[in-house]
Order: sequence, then C-alpha cells, then structure tokens
Amino acid sequence: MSGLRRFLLRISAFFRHDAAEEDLAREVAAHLALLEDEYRRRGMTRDEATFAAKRALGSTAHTKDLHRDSRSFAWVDDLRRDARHAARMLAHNSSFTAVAVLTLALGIGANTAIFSVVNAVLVRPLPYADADRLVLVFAPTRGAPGVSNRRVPALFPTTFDALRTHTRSLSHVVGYVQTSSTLTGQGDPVRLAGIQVSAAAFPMLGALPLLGRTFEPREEASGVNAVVILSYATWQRYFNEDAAVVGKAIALDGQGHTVVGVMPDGFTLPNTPAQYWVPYTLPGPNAGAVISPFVMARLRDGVSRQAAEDDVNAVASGSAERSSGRLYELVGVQDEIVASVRPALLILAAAVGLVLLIACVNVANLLLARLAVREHEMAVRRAVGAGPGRLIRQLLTENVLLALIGGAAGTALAFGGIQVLRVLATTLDRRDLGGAGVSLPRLDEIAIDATALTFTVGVALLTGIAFGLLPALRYLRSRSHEMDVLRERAGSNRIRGALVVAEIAMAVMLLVGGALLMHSFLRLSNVETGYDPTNVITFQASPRRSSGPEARVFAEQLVERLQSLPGVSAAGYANNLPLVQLSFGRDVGARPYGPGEAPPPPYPGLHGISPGFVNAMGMTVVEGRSFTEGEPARREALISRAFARSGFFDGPPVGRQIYSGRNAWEVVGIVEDFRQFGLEQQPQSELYIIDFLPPPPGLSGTYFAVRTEADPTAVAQSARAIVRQLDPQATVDNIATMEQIVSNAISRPRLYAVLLGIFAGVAVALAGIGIYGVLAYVVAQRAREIGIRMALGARRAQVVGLVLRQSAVLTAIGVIAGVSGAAALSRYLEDILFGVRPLDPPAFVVAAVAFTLVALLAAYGPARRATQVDPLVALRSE
Amino acid sequence: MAERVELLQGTLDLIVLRALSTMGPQHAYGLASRLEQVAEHPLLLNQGTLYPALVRLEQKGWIKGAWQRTESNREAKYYRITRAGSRALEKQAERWRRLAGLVDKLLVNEL
Repeated sequence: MSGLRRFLLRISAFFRHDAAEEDLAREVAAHLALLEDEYRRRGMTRDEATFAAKRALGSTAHTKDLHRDSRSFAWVDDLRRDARHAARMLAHNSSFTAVAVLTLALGIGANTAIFSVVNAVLVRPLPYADADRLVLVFAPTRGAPGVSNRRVPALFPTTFDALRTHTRSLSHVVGYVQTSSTLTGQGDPVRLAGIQVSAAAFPMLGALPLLGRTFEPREEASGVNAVVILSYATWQRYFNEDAAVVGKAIALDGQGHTVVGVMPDGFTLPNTPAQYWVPYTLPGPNAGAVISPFVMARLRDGVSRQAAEDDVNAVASGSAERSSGRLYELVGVQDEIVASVRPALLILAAAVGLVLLIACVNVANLLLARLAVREHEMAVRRAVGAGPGRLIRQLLTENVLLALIGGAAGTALAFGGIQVLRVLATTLDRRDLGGAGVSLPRLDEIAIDATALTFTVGVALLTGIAFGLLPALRYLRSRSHEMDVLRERAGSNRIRGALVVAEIAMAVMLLVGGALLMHSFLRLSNVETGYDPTNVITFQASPRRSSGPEARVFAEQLVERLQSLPGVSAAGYANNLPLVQLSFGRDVGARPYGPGEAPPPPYPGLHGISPGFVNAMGMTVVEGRSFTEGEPARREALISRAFARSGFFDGPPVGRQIYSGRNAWEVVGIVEDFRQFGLEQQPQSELYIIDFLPPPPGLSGTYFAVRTEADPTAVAQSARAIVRQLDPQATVDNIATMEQIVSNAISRPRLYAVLLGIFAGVAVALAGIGIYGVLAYVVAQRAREIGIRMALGARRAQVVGLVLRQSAVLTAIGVIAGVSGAAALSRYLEDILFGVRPLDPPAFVVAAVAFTLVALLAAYGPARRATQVDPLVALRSE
Repeated sequence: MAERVELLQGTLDLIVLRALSTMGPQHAYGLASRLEQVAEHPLLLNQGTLYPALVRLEQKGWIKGAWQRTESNREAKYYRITRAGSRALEKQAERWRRLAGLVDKLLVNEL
C-alpha cells in the first residue's frame, strides 16, 4: 500500500521537480544554519563554524543528489538531463539533424498517411449501431457463360418478403432500390438521386433523424399517402435549412410527398449515398417489370453468420433463384464494401513499411558515421565516470528525440499527404458508374485522427529505439577492443556497407512494384475501348414524364436539335453508355421461341440506341455495315465481336436473325467490343438495336452523346438551353466527356500506381542518400591513402574508379538482391495487375537500370571530392 | 577516529521513526544530533545522508514535514511521526528484534 503511494508520489515529484528542489535547498540551508549556531555556541569563530557545519553535513550537491534519487526516479532525472543534452547535440549538428529528420519524416509521414487510410477504410467499423452484424444477402448467380457474373446483393421481391417474414436469425431485413425523381417548386427543377428503402432500415442502422421522424412500417403499403425523408445536404441546398419543412408537401416528379423527416449530416445507407429516401413498397402480383431490391439484414444477437445463412437458405429453398442449386450467401457489409480495395491497401501498407525500414537504415548509417566522430566525446564521458549503461542510455535518448522530431515533421507531411490523396482519389460523383468508378470507398472518413497520431508516436519511438540500438550496440562492442582502431574501422565499414545493400535491395523491390503497376496502368489506358472517346460529351436528360411516348419524342427532338448545332458532327441517345454499370438483359434466341420456352445463354446486354449514336460514340464496324437510314433500321441489329464469337450463331452471324418474344432483328454488322463494366474486364456479348428504351427509375434519364469537331465541353451550355426550351420541367445531369468517363474508370489503378510510384521514388531517393553517405565517409577516411596514391602518380580517372568501384559493388549486390526479392514477392501484386505478368521483364529491367543510374549519380559527388584531395594536406593531416 | 558503521538497509528508517516517536517533532539537524548521541560517536555519518530517509518516509506517509521556527528563531522543517508511522514503527521494531535475536544466536553458536 505504502509502496504504491510512494511510487505515485515519485511520479508526481518528477513533475513538481522545481518546487521540490527549492524546498530541499531551503531545508539544507536551515540545517547548515543550525549546525553553525551549534558550533559557534561551542566557541568557534564564524568561519570555522561555517566550515565545520559544511563538513558535518557533507557535500550539499551529493546530499541533493541522494535526495533526488529517493524523491523521484534517478533515471527520470537522467532522462531530463539526457534530453537536454541530446537537444543541444542535435542543434549543434544541424546538417546531420536536418537530413535525419527529413528522412524520418518521409518514412513516418508516409506510414501515418497510409495507416490513416487503412484504419479508416478497412479497420474502423462502419458508423452504424452493431455495424459488424450487418450483412448483405447475395442471391445465387446464374453463372451462365457470356453473362456478367458480377454478384449483386439483390433478391426477387418475393424472396425478400419471405426472408423478412420467416427468418428467425435476422433481427431486421431491409430492401432498398435506387430511384430518382425531379424536384420542382424549389427554384429550377433538379433531378435528385433517391433510395426506396424499408422502414426498418433506420432502426436497423441505429439512425435517428435530425428533424421529424423516420418511416413507419405502414407507410410501405402502396396507396398510403406518399412520404419522403430529406438528406441534410438536400435540406440545406434546396430548403434553406428550414426547420418548418417537416410536415410540408413537396413535389417529386410532379407528385406531392409529405416531408416527415430530415436526416443528420453525413447519414447514408452503407456505401449508398442519396439525396432523399422514400419507403420501399413491394410490387404487387400484377406489376410489370419487377426490380429486385438489394437486401441488407442484421444478425440477431448471438447468431453466427453461418447459422443465419443456413436459416436464409431454408426459408428461401422454394424460390426461383434457388433453381440452380446454389446457395444464398451472407456477406458482412463492411467486408463487401472494402473487398475490392483490401489487397491493394495491404500492399501499400507493406510498401510504406519498407520505406520506413529504409529510412531507419539510413539514419542508423548516419549515426554510425557520427559515432566514429564522437569516439572522443564518449571517451571523455567514460573517463569522468559514465558507465556503459549510462552512455547507451544517452545515445538512445538522442535517437528517440530525433525520431520524435521526425515523427512530428512526418505528421505534418501526412496531413498534406492526406489532402493530396483526397484529390487523387476523388472521382466523378455519380452512382451510375458504380463501385469500380470509386477509387477508395469511405474516402470522406479518411482523416488523421487520435488513433493515427498514437500510431505515429508509437512508430517514432520504435524507430528511434530500432535505429538507435545498432549504433549503441556497436559502441558496446567497440569497447572490447578499443586499441584495435584499424580493425574497428574496417568492421564499421562492413556493417555500413551491409546496411546500404539492404537499403538498395528494398528500394529496388519497391521500384519493381511501382514499375509493374505503372506498366499495368499504361496497358489499361491503351486498351481498345471499341469506340473513340475523344471529342464526345455525354449527359443525361429527363423530361417531365420520363417514360411513355412523350419521353421518346423528347429524346428524338433533342437529338435533332443537337445535331443541328454548329460544330457538332453527330448526336444520339442510348439507354446505356460504355462503363455505366447497368445491364439491360433480354432473353434472345437464334430461333423463335414460344411462350414458356427459354432460350439458352448467352443473354447479351441490350442497347437501345438512336441511329446517330453509332457515329456519336465512334463505334467501329468491323464486319458488315451499320444501320440503314430511316424506318427499316428498326428491323436491324449490330452485335459485338464477343457476341459473334460466343457460339450463339452456328456460322457467320451477319445476315442471321435474332428473336426475342415477338420481335426479330437481322444482324447487319459486327462492332468492336465495348468493355461495358470496366476496361480491365473481358468483353461481353452486346446487342444494339434502334429503339427508345425508357430509363429505369433509378437513373437520371436517357443518355445522350454528342460528337463535336473541337472542344466538346462548349456544347454543354447549348444542350442545357435546348433541353429547357423543349421542356421547362426537364433536367440535365451528369455532364461528362467520354474521356472523363474512361479516365474515371481507371482511377483506382491510377491511384495505386501513383502511390506506389511515390513510395518507390522516396525509397530510391533515400537509398541514394545512403550510398552517398557511405561513400562520402569512405572518401574522408581514405583521404590519406588517396593522397598517397595521387602523390605516386594516380590519375584522376583511377581515383574516380576507386570510389565508383566501391559503389558499383554495393549497388550490384543490392540490385541483385532487390530483383530476386521482387521476383519472389511480385505475385502478391497479381490481383491488381492488368495485362502484365508479375514477372514482367520490362518492369524489372527498367527498375534495375533506373536504380543503377541513381546509384551512379549518388556516387558521383564523393568520387569528385576524392579527386580534389590535396596530397600535401592529406599527408600532413595525421 | 571512530570506525564507521555501515547502517543496514532500513535501520536508518527505524532509528528516525523511533526518535520522532520518543522525542516528538524534530528537524533534520535535531535528528542528526540525536543519532550521534545514540551512536556515542560524533560524525558517524554525514548528516546529509538523513535526507533520502526523510523523503522516503514522508512519501510512505509515515512522517510529515512542516516548516516552523526553532527556539533560536531560525526556520526549519520539523518532521513528526504519523499514525501510520507509529504502526509501521511497531511492526518494524518487532521484526528487528526478532532478526537481531536470530543473528545474535547464530553468531554465538558459530563461536
């Protein structure tokens, strides 16, 4: 008990250091005074008494030291002194300190930044109640050849209803469907992206409204008065943050909806941003086209995912989706959201780890060099009584202080880095481009927070100890054979050489990784798109009534007006654009099928386009011809190469018929493949017909494409004006050039390539500094030898060769080690590489050559300095 | 000069506690003088060595220091034994008596 009390007091004494010192000084002075009184009473003179008193008390300094040791912790006091001394040392050697701090700042800063990303994206739970119990329900995929195998967590509405009613393992089952509508009556009409969502979603996520309430289950029934919940941003932008909006009616697609609530800032369904929410209503039995809702659920407390999955499969065993015999799957919401970026983020984390290691090695190297210079200082300290432990502690204190300063500078770098990352990772803000068009999910949540700062401090302390330990141990060993100075120096150079080789190897590995990603990205950006994305602008327009004959007339008129604009060479509409993550499947057959009969796969993606779209998009007809002019074109079809090769037709496809229900089209030509779902994806079967297919409700309207002779963005303004003239209630959205859309589709690999490229660049620069440091040290050490050689007639070239040879040996070993290491590890990059094998020879060659050049550059300075050695000075110096 | 006796660890604490318990509040100098009397040797120890013991005891809560005036009107920090200190003194004294008895016996038997 008193032990603990004393421990705590000693800690507090450390912080009340000055007050305690003062009290002690006062007490010692009083003690001396009393002693003096006593001695004077015994008849001593004043001076004698003072002297005797001091002798009796002993050394006041020693007394105070003893007092301090008992009062607080001796090592704490030492630490205070060491820190002060270390700060002086670092300030004194400003150039050493600057290089070391910069090196550490780069290493620690990069790690802090990537840690923040990994923590925010992969580790931190989603911002919902019991986020780890939230799952998405995936239906068994059809998995037919030639059909998109992308898993989508959408179920038939009947299956969803069955799960909601009958499962016992799920506490909430929620369906949601993307929708959109035009908001009128609040300034210009605007197209808003919304979600139809089950009322249970809000309690499931633990989400409370900022104003009003969320939905009640009865509001899901069709025929009940329409209600809507606004997002914070919508409320702010279109309703001026009017708190009285709750209870008012607003017009969505011309229909009155009562606002029942406003959600707080930042609330969305997981990874599903929306500007408003309306209740999800199960389609009735007589509904026409049925949209499958996404299904999210929460596991009941204490139920495992596996048990819930069994439950779901038991409940849904009779459903149409199960016919294939495959099973429903439950996937954690967070796992699903981050699955696509997890491997790459882990690779980046490993890469920055390497950068930090290189930084540590670099600083350790600098410290070793400095230790040699400080031998004298250490000897003096030893002579006045510092034990080895004490000296090592001093060295460690200096290094930890260095690391902490580096960490502070690194944190500043990391703050900047995160800003840059946000810019790099920002993609077009539209949901029709899907998850692949988003380079980092949860981007808004990435910030340098307390966790990241704790991590930074931890890393700084660890690195300080790690790179400081080596020189300290080195110092200990050097004590054992102090006399053997020559051997000692040789040993020290060997260690420093080994460190530089390790550094080079790591840097080369990163460089190979960066080169692989770069090469892969180049491949991806040069992929044959199947169309010509230059000088094409696209947008979506939605008239007041987005389906029915009026919508078609609107689209036809708009295209006609666009075509007549000056500088426009072609214009057209389509139900889909390349890289938009939508598929309009339709069962088609090579022969007529009766009702109840199902044709075999493939089921091509269906593109309903206007004749002008072929030219506006710059599609390439590789066989046959394009559509004819006028009405007969409605009986014609174009197919993609992949469709032509799919085995759908036995024989050449051009001239054959394609049937779907009562419709039939003649294949008149084959066009170059689109990679509809991403440039890295295999092309799939696509079918193009001349038809207006109304956009599904989740879309902001029909797509329009306009090809221009010059800068296509100039057309955007005119297009808006035309749309407004045709229908004052119409909206224009998602204006983007095809080049922007293509660039957006490869934003993720670009981000990876840029980040790894930056890390590789930093690593190479650090390794270069490492080589430079070692050589400069060696040249300084061997100045005498070089001087003698020059005095004996060595030519400049020979001296340069001497230094370069040393560098070449280090570089060669390091590059070979790095290339081997990269060869062993690059297979981990396989998943994020496109069109490039992990053992891609160009990447390896480029990395090795580039690094060798950097090494030469780094060696050049010391080599030049060697030639400037003045033999006379060098010989006299010792 | 008298032979210096190395004080066993803990002995000094016991002596200080005992002195404060019998003599009432004392300052460091008073305690040092008392120690010299008991030991019957002057300058048995540097009076400064008392300070670590005083800090230790104060941090354990066994004694408590406060600034006061001496009879000669000098200021000095007076230490008094606390209740916890008295209890500790009893316990420690008992331990010492037992230990001392044991050591005595051992020494006698060795002879």
